[in-house]
Amino acid sequence: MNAARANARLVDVTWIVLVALTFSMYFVDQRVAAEASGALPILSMAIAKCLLVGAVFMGLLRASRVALALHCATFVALGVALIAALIS
Amino acid sequence: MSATIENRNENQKNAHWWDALPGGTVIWIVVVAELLTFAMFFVAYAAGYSADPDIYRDSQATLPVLSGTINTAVLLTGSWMVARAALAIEERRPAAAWLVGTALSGVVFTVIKFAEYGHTLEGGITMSTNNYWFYYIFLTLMHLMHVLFGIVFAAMMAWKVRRLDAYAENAGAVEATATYWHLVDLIWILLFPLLYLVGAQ
Repeated sequence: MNAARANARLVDVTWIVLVALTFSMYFVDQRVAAEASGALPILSMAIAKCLLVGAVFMGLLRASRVALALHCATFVALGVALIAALIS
Repeated sequence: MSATIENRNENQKNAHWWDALPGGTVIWIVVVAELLTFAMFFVAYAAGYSADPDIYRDSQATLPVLSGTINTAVLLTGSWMVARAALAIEERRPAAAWLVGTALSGVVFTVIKFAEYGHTLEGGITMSTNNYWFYYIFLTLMHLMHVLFGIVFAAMMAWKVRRLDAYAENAGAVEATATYWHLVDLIWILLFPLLYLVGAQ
């Protein structure tokens, strides 16, 4: 029962963090200079959100370490590819 | 009794890591296929942006960033509710309300998206106006189709689990629905900064 409650608490906290990151992206966008280098902080926050959704909401943290590692590797690689393509 | 325990131990020994994935292996094959498809478009978009940033920046600057931000929060709220639904099913607690909330968040997302289309696409902008508008219309419409499917799945699951005695037989389907909704969310989490934020000033 306690584990179930802890899981629910983790999901709730993750949702708050995700919404906070979303509005942080908006505010960074409003402040950042008019150049593509703004891609770095914004896309880093987006990748962090993807990792959180996979680990907590999709349940990979509890289900499988291998799947979690693959999920993280995929999104970090995608983020690096996007940032490289945008800044080059 | 000992034979049953031996069988269970044997099954656990033979289990692969993908057998533990929530919702079953099939929905995860869908997740990987969809993510790969969208990832190719994301990289093509980023490459197009770096080749001709002015067209992308000028077109992007006309988008209402705040409505995109609010829509992201709405979709994340749907993800939170469907994650709570999956946990509730696991614990045999009422989950229908969480699933209805998920479907409603999808409806709110759709309404905001259509209002945004009405605002941005006025003045004769089409997919052939320039590369940016091709990606914007194509990718957001493709994503919106996924949201609409997600609304239908969530509503169907809410109907199926309205009684507690139907939980056991629908637990896998609810987990698969949750995984699908999170996929839709993951795609939007990357679409939003690419289309609305990066280099828009």
